Amino acid sequence: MAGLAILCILAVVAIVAPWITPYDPNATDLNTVLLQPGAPGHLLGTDELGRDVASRLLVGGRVSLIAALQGTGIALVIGVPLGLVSGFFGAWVDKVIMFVTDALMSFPALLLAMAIAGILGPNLTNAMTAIGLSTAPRAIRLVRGSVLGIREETYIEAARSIGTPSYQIVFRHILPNVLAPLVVFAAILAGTVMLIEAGLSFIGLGVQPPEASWGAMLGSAFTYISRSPWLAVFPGVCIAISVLALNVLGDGVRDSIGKKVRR
Amino acid sequence: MTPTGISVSPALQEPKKLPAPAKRRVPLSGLLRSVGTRILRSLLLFVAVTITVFGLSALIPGDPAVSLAGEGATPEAIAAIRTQLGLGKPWYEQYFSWTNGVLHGDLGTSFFYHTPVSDLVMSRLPVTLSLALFAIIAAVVFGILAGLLSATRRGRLADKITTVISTVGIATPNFWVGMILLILFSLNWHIFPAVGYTPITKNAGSWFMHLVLPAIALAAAAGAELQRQTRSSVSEILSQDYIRTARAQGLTRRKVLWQRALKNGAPPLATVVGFQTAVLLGGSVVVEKVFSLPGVGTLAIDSVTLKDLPILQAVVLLNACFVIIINFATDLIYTVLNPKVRI
Repeated sequence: MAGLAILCILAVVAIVAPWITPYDPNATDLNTVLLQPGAPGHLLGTDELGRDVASRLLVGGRVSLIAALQGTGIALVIGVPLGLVSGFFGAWVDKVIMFVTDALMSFPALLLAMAIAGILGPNLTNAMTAIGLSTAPRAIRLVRGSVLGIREETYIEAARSIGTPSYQIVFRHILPNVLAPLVVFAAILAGTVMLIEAGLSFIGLGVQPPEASWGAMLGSAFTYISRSPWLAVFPGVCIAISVLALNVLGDGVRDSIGKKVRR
Repeated sequence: MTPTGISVSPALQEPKKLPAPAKRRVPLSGLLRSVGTRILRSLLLFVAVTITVFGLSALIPGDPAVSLAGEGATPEAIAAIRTQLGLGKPWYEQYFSWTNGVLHGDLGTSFFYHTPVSDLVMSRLPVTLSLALFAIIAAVVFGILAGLLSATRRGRLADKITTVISTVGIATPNFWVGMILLILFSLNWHIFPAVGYTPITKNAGSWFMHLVLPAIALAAAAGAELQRQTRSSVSEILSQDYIRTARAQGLTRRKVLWQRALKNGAPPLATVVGFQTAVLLGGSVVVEKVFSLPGVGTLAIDSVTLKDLPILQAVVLLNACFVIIINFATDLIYTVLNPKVRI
């Protein structure tokens, strides 16, 4: 519940962020450069261009959360159908899909995402597509694993025996039963996606200046780490809290449905 | 009828002559067969990985040669890239020529540095391997010890503290951990050097000091994951009947923990170590940048910025090969540790 509560707060803040920021998050003011936290009018200080850190954190959170949703969505859109087909039909279809999945899982997700995003060109959409593609194999594996268990249930055999077409069995009987572990997985995957997005934005492959995301804020904070170390603190804390909330939510749902889901 | 009056079937009276035993082939032991299958699978995965890495060039928007040469490139530079990538030839010819080069240690020539990519990668590899090895050892030692501490003191303060630390550790970006360590231990307290690298052959002490912080940053999440896995598998084993029997027979707590619980909990741990090593290799890219370590990761980031496709392909391929080898080794260790598995 704690994870869900934190996520709800984060989501509400992300939605209303553009209306509650004390300053324009992209407005520069070279008279107030690198102010410390607690400076008059700037609760969390200002960055190297005099932009209000608190305002950028609020708007950056919106970007980071939307990015996590996008990346997870792409991974699920690719992973769920392929996992269903692989698990349900088995035989050579399963072998081919699993082999391709294993091959893609041989690449460290961050590195593959970096390579794809780098080649497609640095922007947030490309970064999220890259992250979605890199993490889709995990979704395929999870769905396939769940389908393999459900496929042997008596009610599936009964549906087959009365001549129910395969697509109806998959959509009516198997998919609803895969949803519970999928929700757990999606929460944990969203956390992973957020961490990868932060890494990509940190090295300049995610959101482009002057837009803010927590990872990109850490990237620019790194340049001024010896002069203004506090700039590196707040975005990192925000990422950690969000990922923690997603993981706790995932663990909580898993415990409540009493099923072990392999990460 | 026999003299005793009991009828015996003719089959029993005259047992059929058994056919001469067929020449039986000596069966390969399960372990050897398993190793063979795994080797074959790893080779097939390598082929699939080369196709994927080669296919990265297909993602380049527009004319790859023009795009890779960058803005303001001369027609000669574009033509040189076109020739090097063999862009005029059919894709399969390009693939076979590239793979042939890879198998012979030729990873192409860097567009930016104009030197063989294999030389560039090999010169950076010791840095990345040192960092990765350091981090894996740290993660395994601290992760397993913390997991054992939690499992043996379940529900008590020590368990709660280690579990909270590991839960936070999993959720924290490794490069941010690196930045915080850098601020505290290098910039504020001047205990460790902030950036750079010294080869072990030049000065082992300096090599160690340069790697401590990046290795801790990199090991944090992997160690946290191992703590969780050790805690759950060892706690489960400790609640089994045979552990109670062993304790009843007079085995000390320590012996039960190390000889029974950890031994039986080792197979799933080996899998987690294997998976985390792969994650850690990917994560080292950003951590290297934070600590300005001249490793393969920094080379990869530079290659993305410079649009140096041959370097990028080489680094991605190298990492995938490491992961295939690590997975192979993990499976092997799993099979040896758990004789029931002979896949």
